Amino acid sequence: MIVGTLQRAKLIKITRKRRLLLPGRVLVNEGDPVHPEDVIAEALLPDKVFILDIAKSLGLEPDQAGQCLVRQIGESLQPEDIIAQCEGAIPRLVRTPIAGTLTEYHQGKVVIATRQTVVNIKAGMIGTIAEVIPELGAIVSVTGSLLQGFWGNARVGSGLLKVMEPDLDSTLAVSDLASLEAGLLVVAGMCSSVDVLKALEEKKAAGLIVKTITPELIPIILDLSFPVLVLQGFSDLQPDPVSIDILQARNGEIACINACPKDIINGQHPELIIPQGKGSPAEEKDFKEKLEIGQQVILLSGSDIGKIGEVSALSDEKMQFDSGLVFEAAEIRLQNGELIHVPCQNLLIIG
Amino acid sequence: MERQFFSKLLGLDLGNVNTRASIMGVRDEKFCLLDSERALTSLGQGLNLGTGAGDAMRQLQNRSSHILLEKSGKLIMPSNSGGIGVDKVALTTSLGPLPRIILLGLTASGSLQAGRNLVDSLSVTLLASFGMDVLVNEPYIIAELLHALPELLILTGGEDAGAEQALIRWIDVLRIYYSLALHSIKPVFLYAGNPQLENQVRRRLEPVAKLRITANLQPHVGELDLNPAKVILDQEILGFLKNKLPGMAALSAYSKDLEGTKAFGLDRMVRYLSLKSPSDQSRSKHTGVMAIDVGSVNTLISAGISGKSGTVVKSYWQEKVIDQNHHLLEFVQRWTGLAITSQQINHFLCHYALNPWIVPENRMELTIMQAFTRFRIKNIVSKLAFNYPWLRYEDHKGLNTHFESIIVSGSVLTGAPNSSQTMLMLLDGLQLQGITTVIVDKHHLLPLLGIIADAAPVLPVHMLGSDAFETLGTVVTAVSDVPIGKIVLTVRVTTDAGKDYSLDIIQGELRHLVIPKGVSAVLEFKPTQRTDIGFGSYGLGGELRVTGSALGVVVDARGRPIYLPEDDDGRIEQLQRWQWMLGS
Repeated sequence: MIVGTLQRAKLIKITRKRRLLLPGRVLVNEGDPVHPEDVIAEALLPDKVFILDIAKSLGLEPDQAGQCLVRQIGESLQPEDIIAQCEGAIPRLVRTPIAGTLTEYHQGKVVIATRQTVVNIKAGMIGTIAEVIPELGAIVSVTGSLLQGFWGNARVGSGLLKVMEPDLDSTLAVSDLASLEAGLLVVAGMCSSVDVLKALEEKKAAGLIVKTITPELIPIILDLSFPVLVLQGFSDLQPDPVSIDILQARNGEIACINACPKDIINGQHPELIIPQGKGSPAEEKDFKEKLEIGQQVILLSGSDIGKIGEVSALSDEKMQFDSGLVFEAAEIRLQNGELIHVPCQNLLIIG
Repeated sequence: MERQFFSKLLGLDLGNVNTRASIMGVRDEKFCLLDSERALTSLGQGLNLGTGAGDAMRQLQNRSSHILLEKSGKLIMPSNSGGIGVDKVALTTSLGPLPRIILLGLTASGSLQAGRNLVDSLSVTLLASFGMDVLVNEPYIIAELLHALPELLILTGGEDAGAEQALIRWIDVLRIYYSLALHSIKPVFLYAGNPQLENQVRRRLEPVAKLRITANLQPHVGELDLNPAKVILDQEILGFLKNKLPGMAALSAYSKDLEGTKAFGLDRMVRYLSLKSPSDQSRSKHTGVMAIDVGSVNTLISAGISGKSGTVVKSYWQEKVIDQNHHLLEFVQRWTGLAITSQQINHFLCHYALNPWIVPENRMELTIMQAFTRFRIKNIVSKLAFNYPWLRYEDHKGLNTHFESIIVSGSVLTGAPNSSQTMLMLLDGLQLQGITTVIVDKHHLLPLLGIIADAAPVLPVHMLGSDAFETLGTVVTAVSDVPIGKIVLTVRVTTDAGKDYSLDIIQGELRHLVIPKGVSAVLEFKPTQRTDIGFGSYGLGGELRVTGSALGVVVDARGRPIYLPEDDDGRIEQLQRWQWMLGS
């Protein structure tokens, strides 16, 4: 069975595609170093138009005003430029009050595009430009630690990692933040308090990485100015030893969060990247892979939800579970040695 | 569409979690379902939809005698005299991502509501809708359209030979918008308004936009004609998916014109069935057909009576859960038949929202998912009634329009551990009235039949009469205002198996009358004066002839709204008692 993957790796080669939704201009070159807030590419989106009724201004019928136009469609205009003029007993002319581009003429009215908005795509991570995608963006790559999570609030940020307690087993309290410096990526076990979030904002934290949050905080977290990455979910789950290992080892180092929503089509997870690291980097896993014996998995259901285990056996025979339903099952050896059965569909491969 | 002749057809249904492969062929001179299998949909970065479809076909081939694939994995088409291969492929899909649409019209209650009905009936995302009131500020609306980056714009409004000026202004605004929009991201433009302006639309917009023109959504006040627009919109959705999803175009190449979204196919089939549904002489109300599909990601409902029909799709319920919708959480808590805290429910639903493919492993997960399914059903039928006022539904009292049959499908409904649970989710979610037969579409074929119907009209007719559609049971709802514990109805059951009996139905009860498959029975109903069971008025009884089925006859006398005790212990006990009454 093919199941999803969740990357939790000490050292891995990471590549991410950053691209605009519309063609524009790429601002980086291959080999350039980038930081999360660096703009990779930008495009101009027409934003505002000004409509001028020249027929009315000239005192003409709409179908007569066209012959008085003295500018071409597509022409750039400056304030006070004459755009229409008609001779006669009393010559009349129409000037544009604003700068812009003459875009359209129809039935006595001209349309001037006056403003363009810049839309851009940022790097979202610390890395190097591996490849430029002409007019659209680039591929950014870095070797480092990678922790993908389950949910994020769609913000991006970077800073020094500050692991508040080594085992990620406690609930973060306001008192824990008393001496917190600005610009840090705070790592904690559980967040269950609005006051903690407010305190982090006041302290100008660069971001928050938590094992779990209480779901009631979701609407508030969506409005925060800094990124929040939830590694495991929403209830009080056992800490994931793989993540703890990585975070403890890299405490105090520069890291970046891209707390984007999960996107199946584009293969995106909210994630934390800690650049650099010692050793030989592994290759990144595919978004989904075949479940095999020996793989490390995280459980998505049952009383052992959130725990990590190893696939010890797979069977072609389906199995009935306590819910009364029958599914393809995997035998999982948990870290305490216990053997349990879990529906294959309810597993994510980690690594 | 040209009628086509074939003997073996492969139906592929691409869902967000499961891909189903079904073989339909001829047996005893009639079309029937020969076999069906499913595999996980291979949807995601780096994956190809053909992999999941191939897995489903391979599983089907391995399990049955039907050879579909060459050794290379290629589908064998056409079938040969030995029955190997298939002649045709039909394809339905309910996959995301969804194309983003902006709706433009005139008045909120007129053309914009007609547009909403269209958009709600198919799998799309409505970014915004604008009426003619925004035309006072043309630069504003142009800027809004430019920023939104939709994939499709729909303009509707003005009855035939009706309002022109406002539509003309829209056309002018859209001309400006399209001349500013970047070529590579210009949305498709669908005009579905006053036909007298078609020439003007062509003249002004054809040079700058990919234009599609269809019949007016509302040709006269109060009269909707959505079907022509649905055809075009469905084609655009499929085109969008073929561009976005690797493997979709290749699968579509097999099906050619026998393809459509699941919502489109379901809508078509229900419309057809509602035209066929006879009006029962013994009951004064016209009856109809309803179909409900509850899948991992999408909820679909389609209903039709005497040619009037409507469909609503709700996609991606996850946002509602993540946004902490309190009404949703309270409802699920109320309908959970185990002692589970609201916190546990919230935690699980949020987790489920992030991982909608997971299946319930234990009783707690199952009961929360099933309570949530009741919410999804209630929510969608409420939306359907809002869009189509001929469907009478009240939040507290339930469905007041009678449907002769309700066809249920979707992995969440058909995948319940037993049929009683499927029935209960439906009864609690809809709160039916009158007498209805509930049918299970185990293999999720109904939308496929809607796609195939034009090319091969006899196939759906044969399939609907086959065992691919299993009668779950007949539901008789007794609506009465007598106090809990009082008799509302007496039923006399006479079976051809020689088992005859009478019983009294009490207000607040859910009763299960076992009528096994293969047995026929006549039920004589004698309601009390203050009880209506769907024979035309309060106190009016009658006879009903039924054929045995999985659940026989279910008499629902729980009241409208269904009464649940306020205290948790009483509520849980009541829910568990009803489950037990139905054999769950």
